[in-house]
Amino acid sequence: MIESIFAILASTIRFAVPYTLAGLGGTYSERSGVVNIGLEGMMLSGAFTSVAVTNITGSAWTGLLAAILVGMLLGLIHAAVCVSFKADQIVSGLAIIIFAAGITVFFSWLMFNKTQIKAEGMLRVPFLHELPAFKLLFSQIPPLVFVTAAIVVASHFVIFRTVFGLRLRSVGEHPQAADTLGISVYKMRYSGVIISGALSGMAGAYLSLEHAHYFVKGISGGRGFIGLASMIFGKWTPFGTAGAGLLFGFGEAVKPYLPKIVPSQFIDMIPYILTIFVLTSAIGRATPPAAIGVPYNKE
Amino acid sequence: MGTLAPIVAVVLAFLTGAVIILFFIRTYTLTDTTFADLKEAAVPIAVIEKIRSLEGKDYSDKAAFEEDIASRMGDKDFQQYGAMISGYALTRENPIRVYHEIFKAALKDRNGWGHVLYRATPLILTGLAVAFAFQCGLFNIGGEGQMVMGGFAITWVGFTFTQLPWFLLIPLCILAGAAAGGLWGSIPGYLKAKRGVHEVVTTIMLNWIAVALTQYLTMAFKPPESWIPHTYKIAKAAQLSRLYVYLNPLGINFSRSNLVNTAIFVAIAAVLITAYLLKRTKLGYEIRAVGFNPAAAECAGINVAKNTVLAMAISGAFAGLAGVNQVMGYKHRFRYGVFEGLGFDGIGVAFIGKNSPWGCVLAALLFGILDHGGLAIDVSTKVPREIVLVLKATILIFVVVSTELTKRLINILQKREEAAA
Repeated sequence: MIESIFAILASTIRFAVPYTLAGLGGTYSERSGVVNIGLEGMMLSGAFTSVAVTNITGSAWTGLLAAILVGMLLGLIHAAVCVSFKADQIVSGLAIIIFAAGITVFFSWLMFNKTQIKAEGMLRVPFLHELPAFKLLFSQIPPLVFVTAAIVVASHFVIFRTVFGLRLRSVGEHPQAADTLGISVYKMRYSGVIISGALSGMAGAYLSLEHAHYFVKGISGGRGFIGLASMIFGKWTPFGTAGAGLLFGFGEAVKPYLPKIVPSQFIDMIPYILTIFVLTSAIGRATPPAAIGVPYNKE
Repeated sequence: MGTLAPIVAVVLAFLTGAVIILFFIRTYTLTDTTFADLKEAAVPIAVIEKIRSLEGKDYSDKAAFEEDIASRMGDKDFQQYGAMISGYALTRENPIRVYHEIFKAALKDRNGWGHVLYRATPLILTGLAVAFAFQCGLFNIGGEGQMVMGGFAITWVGFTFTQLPWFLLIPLCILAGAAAGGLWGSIPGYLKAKRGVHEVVTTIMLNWIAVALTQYLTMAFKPPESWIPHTYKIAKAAQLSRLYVYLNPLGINFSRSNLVNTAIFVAIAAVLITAYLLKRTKLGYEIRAVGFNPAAAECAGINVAKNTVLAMAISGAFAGLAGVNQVMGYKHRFRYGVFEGLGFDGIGVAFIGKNSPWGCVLAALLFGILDHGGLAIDVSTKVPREIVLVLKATILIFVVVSTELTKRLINILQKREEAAA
């Protein structure tokens, strides 16, 4: 009994990481006023890049770094299309999802001649991994979980306690006002979207390197959208997003322990149903940043 | 300019694809011409003879190729000639040939055309769904969910009312699909009209709810002996016939295995209905007025809430009809796999078609060509067929940036003229 409770808790945390990271990414982007449904695509690209680079270089940390960079690159494209070219943010996000679905499989055929690639390496913390106690801990809870927790706390600080965060929020609420105060709306929005790419890329790396230990076509499987749901359910705050991520992760973790009468598909629906509920104020009220989805015209 | 933008976008996307192909598709092969070139480049015959045994072997990986030639000719010779040999052995894929293969497979004969039409049919419907809602100023990205709900309803009617004759069952199935899709679409419409929740988020969430729900229903109506997650088969009377049934008696030779079926007429009817509804009826006028300026429409006495819900319901109904092709025309059972992604592709179709009914048809045909032609390049070229997805995404990006791009170009040109004057 106790053992299964611990097992559920550990896997709740493991499942929560990609939701939380993607949700945090969404938070940075949407706080700056740019909708990013491309999280899913950035995650998928990160998942592929991390495994590919890990297998080539032999270092999982390099793989993680490459995944973050690829996420940032896609974020840069999304920002250029939405901020500089003032194009529709939803269509751009969708294009990134389609692009990622294509390009990851394209390269996995070219580089490995198959669409399921085993990750030949794991993230190991130097020194700490030598100690038996930590080795046991990391076998249950991968190191990236701790990194994610740190990022959650840091994001709360960055968004609500720093000048950068204040500016980020101001361009998402009222870009004209921010502009008259000399804040560069474009620069802040670019930063928000690129950070969101970095975090989604990291979420992807976690998914393939630490969670599944392989990359397979379409491995993200809608997790980017659950990240989006976590962000909304967490009311666009880092702690709220992490809480929602844990809640949705718990749903995923508890699935195998549920009696057969409860169909697993109904558990899958919970994040989406809850999101609709909070948006319609059936439970609590979630209000998105005011200027979200609207491109800013300087003239 | 409005109609030019998608064409320019397609051209730019194909150019981007060509760059990707040229840059990344590399193979190393030793052929007769390579050996002749090497001889001319003064590589000793003895060295060439040592690697003769590798003639005709394809390498996609440079390291593997060099390892093999090094093992044949020895390290000393390899250091001297290795780089030169890999230089001559390198061949790149010609992007024009790749595109030619795509279009040839899709358009060279009736069979190709048939497959293209089969693939375009559901895309016309999901594209229309997005385009119709857009006329009311709504962005319906819930086509995927509305489509699977409609698809399941079609299947359920098809395997439940098996006693009915075809002339009752087929219309009933089609109506069920439209009704289920329409109901699913009206939920975000209602939430937008009454609660002010933006339809983009609710439609995304409802997509995944619908996918999970139909997956549950699929398992609930799965034949017990089946290992595949699909439902019971629909009645013979509910199945649509493939076009060869009508074309062959007319003396037009058409392959029996070609999947194009009478569902294409449902799609064409939907296009005509949309065009008529939007341009010739009071409802269409009101919907467009709301899309143009909701506040002004309200002042003019148009019920914005009612039109929002109606537009979303009609939009959902179109998406729901995609199952007519996928289930009644092709699979005869419900399985998510035959639907997956068609709803999302519909968004691309609508945007490339500039949200006009006939534009959607053209864009759906383009996607149909890419989807069907893409299958051919796996066999005839070294390019993985996923290049098609890259092309679709790039077309989409270029379509949405085209407005701003042309605006900037015009600005620059005007400034130049002013400077000259």
